[in-house]
Amino acid sequence: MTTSTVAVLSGLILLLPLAGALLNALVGWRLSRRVVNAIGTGSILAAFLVACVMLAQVVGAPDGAKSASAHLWQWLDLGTGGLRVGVDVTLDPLSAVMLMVITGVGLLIHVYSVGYMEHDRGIARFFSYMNLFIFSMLVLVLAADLLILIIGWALVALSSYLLIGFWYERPSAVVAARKAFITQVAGDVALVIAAFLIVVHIGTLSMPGIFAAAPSFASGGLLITVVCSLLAIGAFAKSAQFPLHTWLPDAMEGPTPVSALIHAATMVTAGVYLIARFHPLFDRAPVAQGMVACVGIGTAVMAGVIALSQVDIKRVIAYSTMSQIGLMIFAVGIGAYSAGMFHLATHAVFKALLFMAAGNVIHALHDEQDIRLMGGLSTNLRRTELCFLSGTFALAGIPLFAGFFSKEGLLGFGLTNGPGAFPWVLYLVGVGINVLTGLYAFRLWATVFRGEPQTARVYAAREAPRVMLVPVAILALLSAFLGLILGVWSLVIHDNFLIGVFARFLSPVFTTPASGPLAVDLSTGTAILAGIVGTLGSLLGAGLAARIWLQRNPDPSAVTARLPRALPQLAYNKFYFDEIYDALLVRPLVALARAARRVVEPRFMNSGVQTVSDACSELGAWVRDYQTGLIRDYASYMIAAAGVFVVATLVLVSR
Amino acid sequence: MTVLGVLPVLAPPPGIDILGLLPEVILAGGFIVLMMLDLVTAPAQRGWLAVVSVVAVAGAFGATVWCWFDAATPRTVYFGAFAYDRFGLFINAIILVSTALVLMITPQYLNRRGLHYGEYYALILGAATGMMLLAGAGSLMVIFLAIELLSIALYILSGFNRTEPRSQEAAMKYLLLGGFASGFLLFGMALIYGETGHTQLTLIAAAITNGGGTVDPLLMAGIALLFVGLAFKISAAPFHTWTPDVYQGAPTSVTTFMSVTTKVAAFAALIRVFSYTFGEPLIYDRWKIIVYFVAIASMVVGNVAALRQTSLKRVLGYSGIAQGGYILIGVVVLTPAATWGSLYYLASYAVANIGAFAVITVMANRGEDLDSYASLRGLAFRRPYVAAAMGLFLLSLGGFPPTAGFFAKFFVFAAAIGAHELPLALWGIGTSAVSVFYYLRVGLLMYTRPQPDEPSYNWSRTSLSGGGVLALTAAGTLVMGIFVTLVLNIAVSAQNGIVLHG
Repeated sequence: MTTSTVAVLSGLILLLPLAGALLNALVGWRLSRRVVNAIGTGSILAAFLVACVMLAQVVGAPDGAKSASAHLWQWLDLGTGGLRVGVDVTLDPLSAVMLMVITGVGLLIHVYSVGYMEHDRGIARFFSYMNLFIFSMLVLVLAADLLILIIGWALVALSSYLLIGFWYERPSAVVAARKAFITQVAGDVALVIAAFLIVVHIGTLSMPGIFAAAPSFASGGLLITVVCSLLAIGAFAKSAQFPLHTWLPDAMEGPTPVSALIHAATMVTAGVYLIARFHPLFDRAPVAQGMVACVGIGTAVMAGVIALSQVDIKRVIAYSTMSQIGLMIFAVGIGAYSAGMFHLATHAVFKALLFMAAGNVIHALHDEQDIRLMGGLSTNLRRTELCFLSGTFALAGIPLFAGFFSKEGLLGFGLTNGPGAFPWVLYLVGVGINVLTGLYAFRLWATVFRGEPQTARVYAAREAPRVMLVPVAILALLSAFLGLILGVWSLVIHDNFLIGVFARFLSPVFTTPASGPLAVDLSTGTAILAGIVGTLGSLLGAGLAARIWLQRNPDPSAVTARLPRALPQLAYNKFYFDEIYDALLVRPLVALARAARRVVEPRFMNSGVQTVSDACSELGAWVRDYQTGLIRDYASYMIAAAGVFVVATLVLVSR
Repeated sequence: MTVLGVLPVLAPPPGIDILGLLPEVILAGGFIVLMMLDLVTAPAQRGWLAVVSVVAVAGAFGATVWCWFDAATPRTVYFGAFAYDRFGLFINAIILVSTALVLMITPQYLNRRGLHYGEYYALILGAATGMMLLAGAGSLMVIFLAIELLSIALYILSGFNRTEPRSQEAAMKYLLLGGFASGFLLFGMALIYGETGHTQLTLIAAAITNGGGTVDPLLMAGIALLFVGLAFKISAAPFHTWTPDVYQGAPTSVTTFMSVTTKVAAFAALIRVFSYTFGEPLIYDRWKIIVYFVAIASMVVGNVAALRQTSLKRVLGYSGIAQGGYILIGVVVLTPAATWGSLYYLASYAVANIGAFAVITVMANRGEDLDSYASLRGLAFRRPYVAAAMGLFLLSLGGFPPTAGFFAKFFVFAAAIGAHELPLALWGIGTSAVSVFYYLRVGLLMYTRPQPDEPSYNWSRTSLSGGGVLALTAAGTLVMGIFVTLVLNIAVSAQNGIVLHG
């Protein structure tokens, strides 16, 4: 794996989606729909092929040379001692995994979009945004310089904003897009401050340089804790973790392929990637790590409970995404980076699958999203249901489906490697999450596909066209067999059954003593016991769900109805976070703005800003008055100025 | 006598280095050829003259590139009259690229206006030759001659629209005030010569250094007057008054040309003379205050006056005055970073300003230029690509990333701060905040949907070459903002390569 190969391949993989985005943006409106589709999906197909080559390069590289950085061009160079920013890329197992997820799942979602957006007039705009998103995401994961990573980070937020607000005629979509963007910017600011602190302390923003200089931070010191906390806040905003999570459910206003691509498979997992990428820093900041782990598991519980109470099919999946990402954040918070990344990869597969299958349902019911009005769809949407079921099994962590391997692996680490004095406390919470996951996953499947149709519309539902079914089917096969294949492979090479191959592939990246599989052996008795208990939790949840909701007229609020009234009320209203933020942040700000308009502006601004602006304008008018158009005036200005200059220099000479 | 003896070009006498002026010679040759071709070209065929002139410019550009590699060690040629260095060649390249771009949008514009006469092309090449001589001038006399050469050509070009009173007025104003400025210039040169006994820049610098700590009043007066003459050419306040009137009156293709190339060439002379010949601390302390004042005055006057304009040509004229103020920061500050910052600024200004004026040029219709604010409203809905390109140029002129203009301002301001001239940088930052108002206002107008009852303006269709120029300048604006070091390295090497000793 030579530097020039990496440079060429990463140049290609970045240019292809960018070219697709530009082409569709600039000339898409005069091309036929067929050509626009071809450009949009073709560019991602090509990028996927390049990603496969890159993965092959990493796999084929000898041990100890699995990571290579390439310098594409120097962006900024302020000389010796000044800031130098190179457009550098790194190809290593970690970025290779991300590349495969982004381009692979991205490709299937693009193909799916061809069918889903068939009747939308803005198809060129849509594909141009989607390609821009893939490009931004690739910049983010390939970047070997923190500033370039931040550029990708911000571009991702931009394209997410554009895609959530894709149907800009809907006020709710515009508001949701704005909310997502503002929340993301809060994270961006944290990230930028972290970058400032790093560059002040180390003097470089190059990521290999930062990691090499990591020992210069006092372990557990204040500076490293602050830096890592800021990085974590950036990750929380992107990954919709508490307390910056409220934008994700609203983001479901975007087209369903967007939800699948951005808000399930790729963008929201960027926070997990960021923490995994910066593990040399996090390993030296145990306090920040503990904070990350607690926020992750807390979000997982909270989002799981909310998912159980929601009745909008996309919002249920959105909260389940939030919950699963909480688990990943928990994993990278306890140093189980490989396990977190493995769950990221399998989750991308089965969650994109669930979203796209839900998209089929919504499509068949003409934009109906309320699960109380569905039911009995299995007769008309047989194939979609099969695929959906595969995703549900994987999500619930039913043995031998993809989610089982990654989730049990992840929770196993929690028991042996968790933070604080009682790691098993967090583990027990994890088992509780397994029960919750089983409950809400099967609740969704049962209420949507089983039982009796709740509205007449269900009888008229028609199965999705092939272009929308094939991508879903491919993902369904992957979520059924990906984990199993890797598991069998792990057994063949005598490694841990759950995450062996994957952890071994990533081990060159996570080599520091405190991180990764090196620290813990999952094949110990405790770990096996943990796995069994966790699996039993998942099965318990699934079984309960089947008992409650597998009936003719399932009641989606069956569980919550039996609890004290306050609890379901809380969950249904998403623990009132939107209202709390509204009261704490939005209203005071609006009130402040009103007050500023009523008090500050007329009293102070008119004498301040307004005066400056008036003065500029007046000065402009004054200058214009001197612009008489008469040559004799112009000549006299020149003489006067020249005279003043000569006198000024002469006076200075005699000084 | 050998054959070579008959051909002085191939075996020149010692001290005459024909290669040192190769680009200028090629361009001057093109000038003569065009004059003769014009006599035998039928009026309908005059488009070919544009082709010939572009070929001449391309030849000169090729020669410039060749010279760039040849001039790795800077030296003076023609007995010290010219500097053969990368600094001059960098400026040459900017001038030649700008000239070629202007020539590409010219024939269409002239045809629409019924002005398609052959001498236009000859005059453009003549002016460009003068500018390149100015960029490489190593002696006060050459500076004067080069300025006269380029000025005379531009006087005629400003009045090229013979039937239009505005154009006549512009030419007359430019001529009279230009002659006035030449007087200052020449008087200043005479004083400097009288004091030092030299016209050659390197010898003047040596004479000042050998002067031994005393500064003569007459030398300072000469320097002040010389600055007045050059400040007129870069249209710095308070010598800017001609600029908006001439820019508005002259044919737009001519405005496009002179708003960029004259400024670039005059800045080359300014930097060469002031930063590198009069850089002696004793003298620098005394002229610095004038340039300091002029820089701030240009930034303030240019930006503030542009706020109240309603004609895009005048706005761009004032914006050019302000941009000149920013580049003057690089003259006031003597560090190398300031010089290469100014060079980068000149390149970025050239690209964006040519693009912005080219938009007006290519969209002008038979009757008028359509540069009023009212006629810009809703442009984006009828000419999306043109409006997008224009938006990019305005962003670059306003200094937004990721365009060239952001880094141009960044480098110049950073150089000022690095040289402990913080107030200068603050003036720059403050006035560029003001400038955002009128740049974005134009952008806003283009993207505002026109009311149904508003008169609709008859924008011309963009020709292939016109669209090509817009695409090239737009791409240049972006490339210089994304692949910064591409041009930056050349600018740094141009700064390193400036001739300091004869």
